[in-house]
Amino acid sequence: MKNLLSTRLTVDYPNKPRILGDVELEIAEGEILGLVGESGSGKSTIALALLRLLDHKGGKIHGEILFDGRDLAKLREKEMRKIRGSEIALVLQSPLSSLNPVLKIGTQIAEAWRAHNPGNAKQWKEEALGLFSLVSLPAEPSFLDRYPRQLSVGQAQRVLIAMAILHKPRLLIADEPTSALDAITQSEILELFRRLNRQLNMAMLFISHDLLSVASLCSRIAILQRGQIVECGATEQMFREPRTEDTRALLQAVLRNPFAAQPTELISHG
Amino acid sequence: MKVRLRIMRDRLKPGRAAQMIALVVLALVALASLFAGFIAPSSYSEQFRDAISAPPSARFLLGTDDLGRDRFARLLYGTRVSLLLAPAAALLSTLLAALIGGLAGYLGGRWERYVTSGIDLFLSLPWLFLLLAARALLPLNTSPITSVAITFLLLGCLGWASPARIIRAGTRTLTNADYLVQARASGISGFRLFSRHLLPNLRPILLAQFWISIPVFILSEANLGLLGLGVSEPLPSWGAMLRELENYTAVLQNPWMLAPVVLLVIVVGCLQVVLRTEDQIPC
Repeated sequence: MKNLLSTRLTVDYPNKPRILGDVELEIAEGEILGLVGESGSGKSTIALALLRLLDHKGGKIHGEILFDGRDLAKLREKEMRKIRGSEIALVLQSPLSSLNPVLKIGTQIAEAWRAHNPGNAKQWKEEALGLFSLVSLPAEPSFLDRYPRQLSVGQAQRVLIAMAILHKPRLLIADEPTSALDAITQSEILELFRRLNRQLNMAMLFISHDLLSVASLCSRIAILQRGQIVECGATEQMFREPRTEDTRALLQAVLRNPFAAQPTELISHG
Repeated sequence: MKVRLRIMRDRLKPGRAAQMIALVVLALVALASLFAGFIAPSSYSEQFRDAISAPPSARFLLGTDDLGRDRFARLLYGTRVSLLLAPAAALLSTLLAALIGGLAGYLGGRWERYVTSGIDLFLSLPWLFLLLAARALLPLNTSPITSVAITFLLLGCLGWASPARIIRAGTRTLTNADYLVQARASGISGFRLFSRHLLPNLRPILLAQFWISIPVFILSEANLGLLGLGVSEPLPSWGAMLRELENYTAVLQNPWMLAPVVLLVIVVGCLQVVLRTEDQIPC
């Protein structure tokens, strides 16, 4: 399969140099790559760095971000803006704070639509309603008149996903999209991602600290520790034979079953 | 019928009721000043030499001032001037503050530093002397209409600095909000991000700055008048009438001189009620 994205990425913050050091990620077209790591390991920084959204926090990007033959790290801001939302889209982790509290859902979708279709700005409504039924939201015009605080967390997350796939991006970056959700909504959203990936042939970078949801969704997993990729490989392979101590610790933390006689039997020792 | 019922029900909500009452009061004050020519028994500049500093009577509802002019007529006409001038100047200064403070907070980095030092410099200038110099540059006698225009521009262009500071600080806390990152990630351009996504979130701050400026500007207009820069005689304004209150022994003897203060408090209070209820987003 053709490579959609491959990076070699270093990020410095003014007060925290080397928050990411030489992070190498590769995502093929239509593939879902899981990125797992503890809090503070730099997962969210990767998500923002790929879209070059770190300048507000003072983050500096070195290295290269090859996306479809172009180096995003060298693009001018104007060209980068055209890629954001249309070719690479982002879904952030807390759905309710990622929607503008004072704007109606419809207005926010219209703005996102207009950003890449200034010519036919009126068409957003049909597009939005079409996507709403795809993400299992009520496809009614009255829903567009709601404000974010009139939505449940699950609905808000679906709105964000609908907004992210508005322009049929080739890569969707989901930064802990399920960590704010309850278990049932979580599995529904995971199912939705799986369906979108199949139907739209959309590649995904699924960032999470929840190994189990990553394992159920992704064919490959990369493990991030202290700003570096310590391990990357096929999901099953990694669960059976973790190569590094860090990965083993992660797996043990997740898979410890309080009622099992052998708490870690899924993981081989040695 | 159904629509009418819903309107009735909405009106009964406590917030709505207060808003309606405040609106009616404001409308009455505005109408009274608009039709001052019909309501007031005399012109605002006519001097009654037989009744100088007269107490309230059937002839002069609020008495006369030391030039023998009918206070009630002057209050009505003065309301017309002040009710137009202060909110208009407040609007101008709040817009300037939103643009300057908002952009500084939004852009951050060195732009923010430049603007912040600019604001500090602006606030530390000796305005009394600069205004005296400005007065010296203007012709000695300006027509009342020109004086109103000059006052409007001065208030609007001098009043933006402290609200701009507050708005910059408010914007600074908003720029790191998740929803702005999310909007940027949708490819929305910088200008639209500022005008469509950030400014609506600043609305409560902007409205507060706006209505705080109104009473301040009504009083500033009085102070400008002392420098010969405010609304010029014989045109009355609340500021000019408030200047009379400097003589407190006269105020103690003639408490009806406080009428413009009472009206000022009522109008500012009503404005506040109307704006606050409008600020709530309908559920």
